Amino acid sequence: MIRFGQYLPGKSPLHALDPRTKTAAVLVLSAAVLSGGPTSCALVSALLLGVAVLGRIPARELISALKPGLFFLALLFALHLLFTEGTPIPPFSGGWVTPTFEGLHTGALVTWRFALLLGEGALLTMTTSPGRLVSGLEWFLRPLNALGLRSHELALMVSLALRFVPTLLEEVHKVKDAQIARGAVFGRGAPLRRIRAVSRLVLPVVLGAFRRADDLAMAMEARGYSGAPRSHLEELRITGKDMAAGVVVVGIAVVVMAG
Amino acid sequence: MIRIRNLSHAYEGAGIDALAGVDLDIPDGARVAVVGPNGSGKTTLLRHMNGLLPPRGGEVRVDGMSTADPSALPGIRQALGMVFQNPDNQLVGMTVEEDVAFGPENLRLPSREIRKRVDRALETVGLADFAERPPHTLSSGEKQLAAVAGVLAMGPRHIALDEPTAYLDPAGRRKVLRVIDKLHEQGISIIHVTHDMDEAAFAEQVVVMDRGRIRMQGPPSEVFQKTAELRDLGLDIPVVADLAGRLRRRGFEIGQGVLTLEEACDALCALLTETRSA
Repeated sequence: MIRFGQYLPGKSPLHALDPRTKTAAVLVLSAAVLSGGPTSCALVSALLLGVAVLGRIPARELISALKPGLFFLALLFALHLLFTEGTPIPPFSGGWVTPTFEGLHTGALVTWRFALLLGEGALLTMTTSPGRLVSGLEWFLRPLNALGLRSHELALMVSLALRFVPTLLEEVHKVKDAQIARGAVFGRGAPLRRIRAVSRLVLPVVLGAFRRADDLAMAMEARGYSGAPRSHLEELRITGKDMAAGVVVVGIAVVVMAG
Repeated sequence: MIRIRNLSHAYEGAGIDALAGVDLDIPDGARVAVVGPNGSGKTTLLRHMNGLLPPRGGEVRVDGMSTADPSALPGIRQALGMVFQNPDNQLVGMTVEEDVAFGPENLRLPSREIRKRVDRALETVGLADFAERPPHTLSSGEKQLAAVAGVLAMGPRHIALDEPTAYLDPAGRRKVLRVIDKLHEQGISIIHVTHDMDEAAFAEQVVVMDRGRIRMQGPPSEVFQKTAELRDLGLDIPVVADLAGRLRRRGFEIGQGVLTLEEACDALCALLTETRSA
């Protein structure tokens, strides 16, 4: 299952913030992190830790949310460490790749930056329900309506796609089991054979997905969906808390970018 | 009131007519079971009831609104809700409450009203504690109840269900049937397509379909007497009706109206008391 940043339902002040505020904060902080040095990274780190506490996110959850990114972060660090030109770190000099002090420095900074980006994203998705996240997305896409795009349809498409990820995964397992029961072999043999085995999995799953889409379209129509704009269970509302959060985030971003 | 007159339907490319001149009246608050072999037109009939299919011949009116009139469709879909067979393929929300809100959102109701309806619908089907759960974490029975709640939140006067228990385990099936009972008691008309004759026995009217036509229609106590005709169509009769018929043929006095376990138990107790005292 996909665990990265899975939503943790809760009632914390962070959960209560408008999804647009949180998304905008992530964008602003990301820009700040990417343009700043170690001091700004430290500042944003402190802010994120504070935010995690405010969102009452257990440390264990935060760490497990970041786990899938660890390999990527390690790779990023290693590449910078080994392939940056500069003064070799003494005991390792002379090999075909040499870790350098400059590499250590940029590697650490770049890795730190990306860890912060991952953290921001995880905090956003852990404290915002997918539905509210999509509502926020819909709002951000609204300017594109002038170009003929229909943001509410786009948002519904995204949320349907998210809704059906687990259902389709389940289907993949079922089809796979059915084929194994009839003697199919997965994950063994020559590469070509493996690819063929997987391709035999794709067709039934895709066909199944089309059938589902048909059913779903009918169910949506039966419940009065016509493609017209709809109202929402939860209307987005900017409150004083959102204002306060915005001021804090922009303040930090200004300090970081100026410094 | 649902009024169907001389309704015909042919699917493109199919040789035979899916519906060939169906007449049916469903009064407000009625409870109708529609049975018949596969391909007999049950599902097609249901899809006509809320305008998912436009009539090719004949007419369907729901509370006076014609399904042939596109401008009436929103009203028809509000008046008559549909629950489909596969619970997975009719849930659109990322959480149960967002799903239940889908219909009222299409009606463009204000969010406070949507919230009220969602909470009430979830309360009615017994899923209040599941409001914030993603649908894929629910059992099939719970998913189907969520689908019923989604229909309820539209405030329908009639609910049509297309084999709602086909994918469910016994526990889920019981729960869904209990909710159907409850909705009927609240005065909502129920149109229930099923393969299960024991479920059909609980209806007030049974409609038997075959090859696009209504073959029999009447209260279950009448329809399920016609064992031979039903068997010809490849249909069963409720186990209890079967048992009562066999006992009757062996000379025991059991009434024609015995269809449910409860009634069978009463009838057998009466017989046994008689023999004991004799």
